[in-house]
Amino acid sequence: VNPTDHLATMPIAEASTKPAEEQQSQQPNPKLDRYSWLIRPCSIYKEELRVCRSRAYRKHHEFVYGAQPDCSQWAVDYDNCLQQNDDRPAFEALVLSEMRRRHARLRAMTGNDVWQYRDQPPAEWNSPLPSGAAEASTVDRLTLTGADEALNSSFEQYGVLGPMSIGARMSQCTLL
Amino acid sequence: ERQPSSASTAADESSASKSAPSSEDYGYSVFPKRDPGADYKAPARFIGFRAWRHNRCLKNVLDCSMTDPFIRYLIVAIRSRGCSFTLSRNVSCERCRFSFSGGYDPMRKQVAVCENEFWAKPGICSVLRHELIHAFDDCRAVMFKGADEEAKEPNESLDRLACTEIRAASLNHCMLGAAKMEGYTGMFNYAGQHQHCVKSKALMSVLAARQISRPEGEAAIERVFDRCYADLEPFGRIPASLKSFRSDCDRFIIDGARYGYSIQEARQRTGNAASGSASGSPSAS
Repeated sequence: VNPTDHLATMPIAEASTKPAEEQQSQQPNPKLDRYSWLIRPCSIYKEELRVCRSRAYRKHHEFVYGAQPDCSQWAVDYDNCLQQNDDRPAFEALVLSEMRRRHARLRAMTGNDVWQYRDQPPAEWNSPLPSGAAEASTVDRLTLTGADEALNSSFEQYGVLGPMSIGARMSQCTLL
Repeated sequence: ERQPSSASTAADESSASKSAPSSEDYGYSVFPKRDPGADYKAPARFIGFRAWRHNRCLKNVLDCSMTDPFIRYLIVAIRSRGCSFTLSRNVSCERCRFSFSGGYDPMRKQVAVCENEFWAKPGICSVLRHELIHAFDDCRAVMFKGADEEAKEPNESLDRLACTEIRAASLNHCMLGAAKMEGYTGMFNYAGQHQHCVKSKALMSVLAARQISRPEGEAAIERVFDRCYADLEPFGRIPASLKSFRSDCDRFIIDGARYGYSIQEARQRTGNAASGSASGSPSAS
């Protein structure tokens, strides 16, 4: 099994996880400027580090992978994120780390060759239901027509998360 | 006249009581309303316990779609892939035979939620999450080709079904506390037992959906396990808890926006549904 955790470690020749001071001798790589959008807000790296070090995540990681989680990459990324504007090697290391993570996740998806991915969504996705089923599900559709507008307007108004329920959101989430 | 049953569904078992039909019907005997030629007709009821149960199922489907972050994110992911997902067309509450919890109908592209066994909100949310993974996989890949082509290459179709079930089991079920309570791991000896839980649940689902023997199902799951266990789309991580605020505080939603699962993307790909505001993710970068 080659599980893809969000702590991805795939070596790239030009990347390294050394602290920024050791990379000052290398020349800046201008090609990485295009990928600055890969860098996430620094609070996210801090939050990932906090979660990675928490007891609950440690138990979950042991349960899934059978080993202790390695949170060093998140710590390095958080440091680099704080120094990305002052320090070019930190910025480059962070960009390369994000490229590694993205590559790992996309590689897991494309490596799944059990099925063939579609270019277009299936044409019959919106086709009307067969007539036999239509009679039986008349009551369903009559009841659910209001649900469609409610759902769509909730996406429009609140986004993906939906209307916040107080008890659920205020326990551990520092990023609200 | 009875049409040849020409569709495949992933019917998911909630308990072990089930009788085996004689021919391969891809699990459609569980959902009598879905077989065009069957004698069974589901009468529309307006009073009585069954009406109340049906209405409660519909209400809980709507509640789960409004509050559960996983379900909402899966709906947005399906819409981002270009398949418009609406509750009236793509979700259906119906009474099923045997004790199943739900299934996905790739012929009609509907999630069938059984209102027999569970109609309370936690059960409905769990079923909906599970079937939405099947719907997501059906939207992004070719899952079922039709009875004739499925009969030609049975191993490949079984592999695709096993792949979907493995993904659904690993992303929605088999969290540590649930695995302990259901007996998939020991109280303290739980290192690396997630795979065991995923394989067991996937095997149960695969056996429920196809008329195959247990060794065949196990072989199919073993064939595809490595590739499918690593494929964590659209979440990108194995959730640690059913409550997202306990595990990662909905950060999979923020990360997913970078991989094409966002409300803006859904608005572009599908004309009608999921028009969202730009403040969909809490911290937009």
